[in-house]
Amino acid sequence: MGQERISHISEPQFIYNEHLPRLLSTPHYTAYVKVAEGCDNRCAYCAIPDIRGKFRSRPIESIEVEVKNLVAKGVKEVILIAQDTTRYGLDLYGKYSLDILLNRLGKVTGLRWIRIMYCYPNRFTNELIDIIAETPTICKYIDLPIQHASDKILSAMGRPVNQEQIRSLVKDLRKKIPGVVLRTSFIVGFPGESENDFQELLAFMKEMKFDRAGVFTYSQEEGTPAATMTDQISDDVKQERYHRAMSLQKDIALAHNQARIGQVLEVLVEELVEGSRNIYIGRSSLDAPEIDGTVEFSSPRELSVGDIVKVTINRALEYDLMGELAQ
Amino acid sequence: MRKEAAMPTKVGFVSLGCPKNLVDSEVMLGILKDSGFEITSKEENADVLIVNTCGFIEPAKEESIRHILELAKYKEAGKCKVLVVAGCLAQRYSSELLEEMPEIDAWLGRNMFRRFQI
Repeated sequence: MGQERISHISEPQFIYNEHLPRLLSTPHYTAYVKVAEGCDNRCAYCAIPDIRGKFRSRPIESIEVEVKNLVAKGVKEVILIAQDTTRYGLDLYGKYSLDILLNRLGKVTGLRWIRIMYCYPNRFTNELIDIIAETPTICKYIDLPIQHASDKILSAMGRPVNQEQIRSLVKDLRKKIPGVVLRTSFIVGFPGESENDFQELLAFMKEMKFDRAGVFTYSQEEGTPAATMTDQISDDVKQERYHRAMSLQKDIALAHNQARIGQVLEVLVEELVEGSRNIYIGRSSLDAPEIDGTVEFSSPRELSVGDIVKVTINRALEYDLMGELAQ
Repeated sequence: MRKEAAMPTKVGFVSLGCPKNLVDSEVMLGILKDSGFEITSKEENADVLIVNTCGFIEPAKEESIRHILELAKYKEAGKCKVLVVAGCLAQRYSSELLEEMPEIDAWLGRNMFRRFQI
């Protein structure tokens, strides 16, 4: 065609605000809200800081107005995201301020669920724990990627915490937020990860019993410090470790789910099962969209997609639950 | 991407990767719609195709490239006149893409939004 090719690539500085138009693509009852952009961590495996630039928070007021506008449009669940959500506010206010933001969002009328994703273990302040525990609309669900459990690997990854600090935080969270569901993620096959290091991770998984965990095989990313480390792990070993970790987590997840039998959970109705009259699929307040499980349940009365109802759990699979509308 | 007075330009959009990228996509779509573009889910009818890519790890990059090549077919088989690659892959590999993918007409990095508002 011979037309001119256009390139607009520059240092990333942008962060959106409440004034920009936004066309939601998620179901009408759920929206993601980005509280900050960029990342100032320098994890050895990660190219994100180079791609998305320095960490920059949106002002509390901007987020609050956006959330109120979303709720006015029918959104019931807001999912707060950033590369590093627990760092929120440090650049703008000189201190970690996610707790202050949550306190404000907890008072937004009509907002039923607030979910927080991508928390860093070393930035989980006592104030943050307290506000999660005290605010009814904040989901008792914490996404806390820890990536590994061996101190040797954590240090090589440039992660800011060691195993004992993670253990202590997990205990604290479970004690102060009764019933909290913890999701994490792990990288297997990081350069230099020996069989012993990997077994240390498995042992930690068994001990901590995270309710949910994602496992990822290490990806050698150019421009990152880890990419030039000499002791890279073969794809075969990465795959083998991935399957061993996933298999262990499956057993842990099943045990967690079985313990839910008899409990009553808050469930957001997402769809009517095709061809059925009274079987619905929903998602509990303890499950994030896309990555966690669902709840399939029967209801004697007609429900609408987007309703939040109470469901008594009567069956458990590894990742999904089944039940019936609570009377 | 000039606005046409009579027939609105139809834009097809693919969002890849994480929820953070999805928010970017939703803001881009909002700006496009407000600027008079028509958003279409039918790629074969689109005048402009935009893919908001992920460039985080190897499988994500491969998926992004696959989608770019997939959408490039509509320049022959459909109505597409302009193929735009936005997001993290464009930010991270602009010079490589410029050289190796002649199918691409425009790149928008992570500061793309200001350009969308023109």
